[in-house]
This record gives sequence, structure tokens and C-alpha cells, in this order.
Amino acid sequence: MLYYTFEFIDGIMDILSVNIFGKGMLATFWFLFFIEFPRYYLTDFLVAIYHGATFNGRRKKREAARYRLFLEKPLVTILAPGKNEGKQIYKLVKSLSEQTYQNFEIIIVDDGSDDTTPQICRDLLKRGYIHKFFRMVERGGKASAANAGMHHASGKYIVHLDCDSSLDRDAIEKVLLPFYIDPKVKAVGGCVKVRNADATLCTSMQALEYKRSIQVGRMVTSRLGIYHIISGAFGAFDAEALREVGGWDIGPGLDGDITQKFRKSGHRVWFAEDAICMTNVPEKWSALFKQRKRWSKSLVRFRIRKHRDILWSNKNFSFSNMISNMDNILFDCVFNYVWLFYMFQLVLSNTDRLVEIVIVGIIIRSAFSICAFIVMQCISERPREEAHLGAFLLLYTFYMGYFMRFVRLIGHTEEFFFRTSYKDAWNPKKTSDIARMENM
Amino acid sequence: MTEIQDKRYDIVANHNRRRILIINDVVDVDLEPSLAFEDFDAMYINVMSPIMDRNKLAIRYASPLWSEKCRYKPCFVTERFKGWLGNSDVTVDGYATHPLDHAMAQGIEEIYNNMRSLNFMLGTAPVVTHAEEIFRLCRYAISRRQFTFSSEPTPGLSSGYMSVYYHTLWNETQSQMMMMERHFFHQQMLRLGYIKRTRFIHKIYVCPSCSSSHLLFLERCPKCDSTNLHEEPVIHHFRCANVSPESAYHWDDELRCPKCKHFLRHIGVDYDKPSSVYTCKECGNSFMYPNMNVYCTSCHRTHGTDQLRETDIEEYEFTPEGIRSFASTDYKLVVSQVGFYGYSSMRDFQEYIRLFGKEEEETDDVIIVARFYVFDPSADDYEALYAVPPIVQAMSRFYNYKSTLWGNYFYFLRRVSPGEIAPIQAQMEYELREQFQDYGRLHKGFQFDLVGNYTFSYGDDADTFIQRLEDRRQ
Repeated sequence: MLYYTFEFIDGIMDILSVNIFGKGMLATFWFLFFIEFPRYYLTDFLVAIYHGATFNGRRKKREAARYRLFLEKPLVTILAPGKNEGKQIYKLVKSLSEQTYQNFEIIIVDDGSDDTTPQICRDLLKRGYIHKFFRMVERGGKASAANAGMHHASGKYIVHLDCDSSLDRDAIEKVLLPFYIDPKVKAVGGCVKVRNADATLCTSMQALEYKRSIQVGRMVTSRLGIYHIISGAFGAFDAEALREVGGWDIGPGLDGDITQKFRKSGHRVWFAEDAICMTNVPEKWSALFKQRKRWSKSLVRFRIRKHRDILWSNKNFSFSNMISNMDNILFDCVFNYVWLFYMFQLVLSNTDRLVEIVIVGIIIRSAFSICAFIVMQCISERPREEAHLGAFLLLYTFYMGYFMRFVRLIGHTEEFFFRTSYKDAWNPKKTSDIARMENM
Repeated sequence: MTEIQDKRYDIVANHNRRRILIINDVVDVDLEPSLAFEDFDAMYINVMSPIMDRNKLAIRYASPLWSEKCRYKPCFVTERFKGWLGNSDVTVDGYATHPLDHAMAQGIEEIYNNMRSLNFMLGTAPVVTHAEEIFRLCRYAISRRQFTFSSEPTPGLSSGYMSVYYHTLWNETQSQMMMMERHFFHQQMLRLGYIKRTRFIHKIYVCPSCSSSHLLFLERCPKCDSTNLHEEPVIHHFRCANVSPESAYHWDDELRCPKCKHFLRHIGVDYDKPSSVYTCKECGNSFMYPNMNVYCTSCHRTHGTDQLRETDIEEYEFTPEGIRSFASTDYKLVVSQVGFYGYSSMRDFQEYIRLFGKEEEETDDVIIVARFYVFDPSADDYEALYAVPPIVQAMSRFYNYKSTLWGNYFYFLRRVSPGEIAPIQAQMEYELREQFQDYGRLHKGFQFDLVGNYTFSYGDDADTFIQRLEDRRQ
């Protein structure tokens, strides 16, 4: 037993010593070094340095913007559509009452709930905790509920929230600042983090993922001008521009879709990494699998089918829009198939030392993850509270490197060949049927 | 019949030897010196005036309820009034084409037989207080074997529901005091075991200020309180998820989506109407649930729907004990008159104030009392004509007050909520002064003056307050 163990360690050391800094290493881990490293690690690192270097300049701009915001103090509509979310709404309303920016109206739209949500909302309305409540007796889907709310919004800006969200005290203020920093900005995405991070291993993984791909990832894309998804859980829109683009279209994936619509209309979109919104994520792997599959399908449906014109020409063609969509399609979809090919190639060409190669791959990935985590901590507004997530870095390598890739692969393949997103119960059948018929 | 109609009234005997007083014109029987209680056994109203109020007045003057000389005696009216008497119908024992009609004679005998079987005492002392009016009504009902008091929806009545019998006594524009009075009466009768609840009829909601059921439910804009609202369905277009009010889709008699410009052709396939939305035409605010307010047409106040007071409408029935007690007038010994409004004795008036101060449930209500000095020289000879002094008769139209006459002081009491003390006090003073002035015009030498207004709140010392009321004018 001991013999085999030493043999195994020798194998790993061989790969490292023979391949390190050599061509062999790059040939073996080309996917990691040529695709993942430049996009996710190097870019993040460089942008984070730039972010840090420009901190003072940004702070001054933000202070001026804050002054202008509070001078104007525009009415903001907080719009939360949802189904059977009655119990979550009180928490949301509570966190809103603590906001530093208080000139807002709260509109809750109930999308055909079949529980006590209408009663709870009517009670909240009666007590003045929310300002408007609309109930759709027939469920029409999240987009229709959001549009109904939009129609009745009287604020200059509309902040779209999920009913199970809760916000940092200054989140509304911070998500509004980009509108006053750059007048061309018409939509701002807030930073979504995981509230139930310590519930299960699954939620801890997602907490790391959100921190990495939302807080850092979207900050990077925003700085590069290719920010392409404003979270449905927390996003702010200029009400006029939102009405101009026609509000939300049929989901799933309406958050990515609305961002693309804003970009295509020539508006600038921004990510506010310090406007923090907390949300609950699935606690079970099966639920997570289902959710991510749905998200993956929406990528195919919206970015590749509905908004494919963004890639070559449309009346508002912009290079950054094309790159933005391309980035999403390549790294979240195409390279997953490339990764599958890479894995097959790796297995077939290295059958004798496969285990050792996998372990070396994990070591390299983990090293990258540690660097990425340091960047995350530098960007984070609460690094101390999130430091414990570092303990999950090794597992995170498996989570993002293998689990997520498989989920995405399945989702994309299903959507490419079977268009299963139209059968998803997330949307009511009546709207899915029309969307399928109209090839939307 | 022609012979009968020649005189204003006449007395004839039927084949059972019952003497029937035939009334051909409006005759105040009590004031008719040639008519005595013992002169007749039943009445037949044969007035044929084209003015219905005149006919009703004739019935009232010869009513077994109102007239001292006619009390409890069978009362029949001419067949022509059938269907015209409204609620007064309950004070009539039947309709007959002729006073010597066989059916009428039979009806008279049945009533007398019934009274005999109940050992019903026909004679009573004259009715002076309002409470005594109510007791007489109970006795009258028992004499006609009407043991059940069932409330019915009554048009025009503030409380909405009332027993038709009560309707003969309580006015349509009754206030909260009358509701409280009836409640007090029922509670007392239940406690004594004289009546029992037999049926729950309805639970209704009444104005918390005045107990009126004349309420207007108004939908108001939550923002500006306007009632100028427009309700409109919203349309959900499946294709683009647009949701807007229906008017936004109207396009040349067709429905076209304002977002994607597609025509909507088929409900359920292209679109549906998941909800409706109100829009305020005053401020433009849109909302799904308007504020519901209730406007009381009696007291002109506005309340929230959750502030309305629940009132149970129940049916009561006299118990054998109650029947026996009312038939024999034993009830007088046990039934309290304190909680009744209208005219009462000074002792009951004072007791009411004491009871208010000791009520189990703490109340915000306040008692206001107006005290008038009155000097009426015509009061000396009233006993010959009326059971009560003429000034009391004149003031009896203020059925929403509890009143009493004590020497030369006339007291009026009313229970009000704290916010309405000043207006009610002013209204009370104005009404009473007007009435006193009217009375003064008809009665030579009559003088009156307001001595003072007093307020008594829950928790105040009742005896000190009563002492203040009795003090001579400063």
C-alpha cells in the first residue's frame, strides 16, 4: 500500500518536474492556460489592479454623484414581482425600510399566487408598508408581472427586485449612483450575494461562485464595457428608457434579455459591485442542477437565437455589444464543448498517467483559485465575514471545473436540439406556446 | 250604513251584545267628554277621507295602543284601508265591511277570550313615560297572542331592522340612543326570563357614531381620497409579455399591442385579462384595491369598514313567565325604566347618570345635559285632559333625549362621543329653544330660559354631578 502511494507521488512529481515551465505542461493543460487563465484569472487580476489604482478618482466621482442624487432626490419605484412569495415580502419590506435612500414607492405584483400571498400583501398595503399591490388572477409569468408593475410605476428609476431579496442599508443609494456618474447609463446591475451561504455545502459553493462570478466577474465586464447581465434579483433602470425598450419579454432569462435590449438601444449599462443584495440560493444539488440548466438554456435561447443580430449587424451595431455577446457565448457555451473535447483528448492520450494529470490539474486550478480568492477579498465589501469561504476553495475547483460545466453542457445541448426551455414550468404554458410558435 | 255615517261617531251593539264605537271622522276619543272607557267594547274606524294621513290620525286617536279610553280593545277598520296602512297595520285587529260584520264579531270575541284565558288585566294607569309606552306595546302584543318579536328589514329605518311592533313607537330617524334603549330593554327582559332568543336573523354593520344602517360604501383613491375612480381590465399579451390597461390596446375597434404592435385576436390564445386596475381621475394614481370608506347618511361621518359596529339581529319570544307578568302587570315591580329614553321620572334620570358612571366597559362617550327653567301657567289644569303635562307632550318629539321635568326645571340628556360635544350641545339648545318658543306662542304666559349645559364623563362622581344639576340658578 505504502509502495503504491510513493509510486503515485513520484508520478505527480515527475509530471511537475518534467513539464513545469516546459512545452509539455502547456500541451497538457492548454485549456486551462490558453482559455481559462487569460479570461478569468489574468483579466480579473489586471482589472482589479486598475480598480484599486483608480479608487481615489472613483471616490470623488461617487461623492459628487451622491450629492447630485440627494439634491434631486428622485422618486424611485421598487418593483418586486413574484408568485407565492408572501412570506418573503415582509423581510424585503423590512430591509427597504432601513435604506439610507428613502424616497421610494414599493410595488408588489402577485403573479397568480395560490397561497396566502394576496392576503399578506393586502395587509402590508393596508398598513402602509407597501405602496401599491397588483394581483394577476391568472398567472402570466414573471415578465408580464414585471411589466404590469412597470406600467404603474411613477418613479424616475425602477429598481427590480426578487421578492426573496434583501438589501444592504445603502444598496438603493449605491445602485442609483451610476445614473449620476454617467448620464448615459440607463441600467445598473446590483451585486447579488448568497444569504444562506452556511446552510449546506451546496450553498457555500454558490456563495463562492456568486462572489467570484458576480461581484468580481461583472465588475470586470463592466470595466471592460461588455457587462451583459443585470440580475433579476437586483437591477435599476431608468423608467423612461425601460418603457422605451418595451419592458421585459417572455422568460426564462429575462434579466439577460433586458440587458441586451438596453445595449442594443444604445444605452450604457453598469454594474455596481458595492450595491449588495442578498438572496437565498438552492440548498440541494438537484434544485441547483435544475436552476442552472434553466439559466443555460436561456443563454442559447436569447443570446444565440433572439439576439444573434447583435453579433454582426443591427441598427445600433456596436463593437462592444458584439464582444459582450460573443464573450458570453464563447466562454459559457462554446468552450464547454471545447472542454469536453479537451477532456476526451486528455483521457485518450494520457491513459497511463491520467490520475496524476488530474491531480496536477487540480493543484494548478487550486493555485489559480487562491489567487482569484485574494482578488475577491480585495473587492469584497465584507472580506472578514466571507473569509471562511476560502476553506471551500479546493472543492470549488471541482464545483466550477466539472459540475457546472456538465450542467451547462446538458442545458445547452437540450436547448440546441430539443428546445426544452419552452416546456419549462417556470413560464405558464400559454406564453411558452406562443413563444415557441413565434420562434422567440 | 248611511245612517251610521251621519254622525261623527256612534255606538252600536252587535249580535254578541258587544258595543262598538263607530268612528266616521277624526275624533280624539280621549278628549271626547261624552265617551268613557266603559261605554264601548270595540272600535270600528269608518273614516273615508281622501287624505290618508287624516285616516291614520283617526285610527291613532282610537288606537288600543295610544288612546287611554280605547286601550287593548279590539280595533277594526273599514275594508277600504286594506293595504294602505303600512306599518300601522299591526295596531289594527282586522278589516270589516260593516261594524256588525259576522267575522268582525267573531274577531272581537276571540280577542276577549284570549285576554280572559291569559287573565289579562284591561285597566292600567295612564302612560306617562316612554318606558311605559313600550310596556304597553308588549301588553298589547300579548293580548293579541303575538308572542314573537321578529325583526324585519324596514325601509327608511336607521337601524335597518326592527320589529313591526316597535315601529309603532320608535321613529324612523332614531339615533344611537334608541338602539341602546332597545338593547337595554332586551337585555333586561332576557335577564328577568321574560323573553328568550329564538332565532338569529342577521349580523349587520352599523355606523359606530350613530348606529345607523344608512351607509354608503365608497371606493376611494388611496392617494387623494377621491371617489372619481375608473376601473379597467388589464390585458396580458402572451407574445411579448406586455401588460397594460385595455384602453392602451384599443386601435380602431381592434386590440393592438402597444409594445409589439401585433393584433390581439383571440382571448386565451393571444391574450388574457388577468386583473383589473382602478385609475383615479383626479390624481391619475393607479391601484388595484381602492380604500373602502363608509359614509353615514345619518350623521354625515366617514368611517373605515373595520370601524363599523357589528349588530346581531335576533328574534325574541315571550316566555310563559313573561306573558303572565305582562298580562297581570306584575312586570311593573321588577322592570327598570332607567335605560329608556324620552320622558322619564327624575329618579330614573338620575339613576341613568349613576349607571353610566359605573358601566363595566370603559367608554369615551360623554353625557351632556341641558337644563331649562320653565314656567307654564297652563300646567295647572292639564290633569283633566292629558296623562302627562302639555309641556312634556310638546317636548316628546325629541325622542333622542332622555328628559325629565322636576318642578320648574326641564332637563334633557344625551349621550355623545367626545368629538361631537360642542355641535350636539349647540344643536340641542337650538332645537329645544325653538320648541319652547313654539309652545310659548300657544300657551299664554309661558316662559323659559336655559340655565346651563353640563357634561358628565365616565369616571366622574355621579352624585356631585347630580347635585350640580339640582342647584338653583347662580
